[in-house]
Amino acid sequence: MPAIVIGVLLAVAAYGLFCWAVIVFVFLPAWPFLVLAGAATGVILIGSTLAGTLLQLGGLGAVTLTPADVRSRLPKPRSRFERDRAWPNYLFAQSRTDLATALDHTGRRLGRVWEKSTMPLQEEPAILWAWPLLLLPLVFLLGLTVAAVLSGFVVYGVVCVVLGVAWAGWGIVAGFRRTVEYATQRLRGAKATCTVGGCNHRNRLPAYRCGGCGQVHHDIRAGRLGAFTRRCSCGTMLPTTVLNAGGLAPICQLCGEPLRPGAAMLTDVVLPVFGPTSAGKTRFVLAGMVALARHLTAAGGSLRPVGPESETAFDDARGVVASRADTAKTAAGRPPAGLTVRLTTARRQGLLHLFDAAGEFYSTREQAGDLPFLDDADGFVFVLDPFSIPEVRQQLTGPLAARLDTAHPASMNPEQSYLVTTRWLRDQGVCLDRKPLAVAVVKSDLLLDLPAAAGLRAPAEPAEIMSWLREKGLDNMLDGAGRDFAAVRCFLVSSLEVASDADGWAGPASPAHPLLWLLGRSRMSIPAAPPLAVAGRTA
Amino acid sequence: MTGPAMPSGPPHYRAYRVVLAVAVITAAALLLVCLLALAFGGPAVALGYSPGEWL
Repeated sequence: MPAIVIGVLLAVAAYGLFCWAVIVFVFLPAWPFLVLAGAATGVILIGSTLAGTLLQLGGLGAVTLTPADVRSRLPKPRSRFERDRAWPNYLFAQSRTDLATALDHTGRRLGRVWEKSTMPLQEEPAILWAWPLLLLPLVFLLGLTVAAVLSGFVVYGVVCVVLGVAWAGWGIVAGFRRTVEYATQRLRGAKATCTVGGCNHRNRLPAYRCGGCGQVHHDIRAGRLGAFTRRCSCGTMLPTTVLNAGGLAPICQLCGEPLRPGAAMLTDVVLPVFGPTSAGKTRFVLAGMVALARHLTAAGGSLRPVGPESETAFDDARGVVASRADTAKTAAGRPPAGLTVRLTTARRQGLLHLFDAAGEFYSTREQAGDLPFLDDADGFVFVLDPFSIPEVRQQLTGPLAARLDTAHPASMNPEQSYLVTTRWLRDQGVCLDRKPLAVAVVKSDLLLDLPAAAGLRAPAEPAEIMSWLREKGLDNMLDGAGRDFAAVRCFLVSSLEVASDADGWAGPASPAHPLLWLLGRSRMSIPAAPPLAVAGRTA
Repeated sequence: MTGPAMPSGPPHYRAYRVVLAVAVITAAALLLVCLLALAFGGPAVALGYSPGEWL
């Protein structure tokens, strides 16, 4: 029995001696080296895992996000459309995926190191008797783990700083490009106007169809899909500004129909012509177009109809004006398509859209609601038929009654028509006080020689025309127009013919004058007739 | 998705990744250098240890 006790005591003493010897002669001298080696391994683990993931080495690469993932991985745009299917910029989706994947790989690698290191212990727990020796890998692993965590903060921090700098640079570039584009569009007065099938949608940002696959891109501006260019899902490179998108086909954001070439790039002027039924709006538009074309040619520019409908309408207009034939009444069944022409002057190009709706649309507020082009017009032309003024009609009796029949006067009092339309516009929130109004007193060819036109002459100054209208009882309407609109000017015109001189300059009663005045107020100034031409006419 | 297959994403992904990888490798290398400098160099000496003593 004492021998057993002595044996046990000796074994315990020997084990204690062994432990003491390992700790003193092995562990204590070696632990700094092990900590250092573990820390270095931890740093290398972090660096190699992150770099390997980024460079897609050794099967570490992250899943590549494609245009199909854009809608789920990027914030929803503030638009009624989903985000366009194009390759996103690396900064906004793929970078996060890469970093998350690298972090995941790092955690897994660290876990595997611990797992492999502790596996012998799990398989043979008996080796725990040599615990002083096990302190060596433990210290190494602790050094590795602590260093991996600390260096992970540093290295991932560096990556985040690089990404942040790139993001800030991108933000400055994209913001600058957007600002320049917006400012240029504002200065030019550039917008995209849809004139197809009564759509009449108008904004500064048309959609574009990709030249490669035909996919529609609703927001082509510099953004998360690219600052300078974007790559469509088909691989085709597209520009990221409307002003550089001249090679793409613009389409309407609302109806998806093709827009005119140059939409949202060129000065865009929308001029609705309103007035009661039979006031002479269509005649004014047709004659005004032809007169404007001649005036522009005389001024060294040009006017060209854009699109098959406008070309047909312009050809018809020239025929009707040349033959002095009667104009067919505008169909009242549906809202009108606009007549679009491309104007070129020495300094600027632009698109002019003239909208001529049937007078029935202006007779009630409900029907005026079907004319969306009124919402965002650059100016208005109110066609005033002098033969529909009650006081003028009263004077056309006896032998002069035939003149009233010839004039086919408008069915509604001009004041009532004006009030219905302007009240509806105000209700729609249209800022009339920023828009000019041209009051075109038409049919001057039938009016000027009548006693009712006493005080009027051709050419008549706007003040003279206003004074005459006030005499005829339209002072309320004119006072209201003065309050409603930014500027009001009256013109006495004859739409029977273009009233141009031999060189093509618009004459005193030309229907081009209201259009020229409104174009001038819409950043599309067109030179007036030179003084010599004016002097020749008035002499 | 139609169009050309780009398993690694468009070319600009590669450019960003290379820049980031260079930043990562540089940062990791600097950390290693700092670690070794801490172990063998000035800071250890400044703290009153000679490298031999500390190790």
